Amino acid sequence: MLVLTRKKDESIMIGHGIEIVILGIDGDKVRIGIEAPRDVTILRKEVYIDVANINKQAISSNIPMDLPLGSIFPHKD
Amino acid sequence: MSCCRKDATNMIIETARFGSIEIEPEKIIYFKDGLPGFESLTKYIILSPPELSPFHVLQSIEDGDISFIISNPFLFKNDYSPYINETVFRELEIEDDSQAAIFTIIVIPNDYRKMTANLMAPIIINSEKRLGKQVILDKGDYPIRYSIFQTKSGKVG
Repeated sequence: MLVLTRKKDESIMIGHGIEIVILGIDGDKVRIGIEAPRDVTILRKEVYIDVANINKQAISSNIPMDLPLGSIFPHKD
Repeated sequence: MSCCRKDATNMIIETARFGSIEIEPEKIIYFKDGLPGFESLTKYIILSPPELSPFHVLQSIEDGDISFIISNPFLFKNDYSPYINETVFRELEIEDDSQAAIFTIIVIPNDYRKMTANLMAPIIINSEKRLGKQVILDKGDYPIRYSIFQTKSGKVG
């Protein structure tokens, strides 16, 4: 991993379209500004990890035979 | 064309959920980025056995052990209105709403009354061009575990 030290208001450029700016530092919190092309997905990593974890739980789901489908899906046609 | 089954080109895959199944290659949906947690699996098919309705199964073509139970979220959350960034529509080549389908992944634990739907990360599919993506919403407050039964009993999920 490339490790850089930056001060407030300094930034990092990644490729041609992405810039990351350190907006402020307060104790153990860092405020970061990101400029990126609109088609670049930017996510807090823990959100992606949460979705990955729930997907891993989902693969073992089974539909029980006695499921009262009508009461769960009142709008089912 | 539904008139002529091209058996010669059909594929047989082994699946954990349904055993050996025959699939038509033109029904394969391509997920360029895979799904979070399953990034290396990019080819899926939607299976809709009538006895599972209104659930469907999103089955990996590349790993028969991997499949997800999915459903149309509007069936239990009829005011669901996720904000989907236009770049998603561009990526999936969706030019018209009629090409787009939306599903949500369902988690069913042993106690099925604790069944949840992931409304935070819906699956968007271009059903004409067979392109799909699990979109993680960055706007709106839809939960990753939306309790389907809890909502039924009056509590807001």
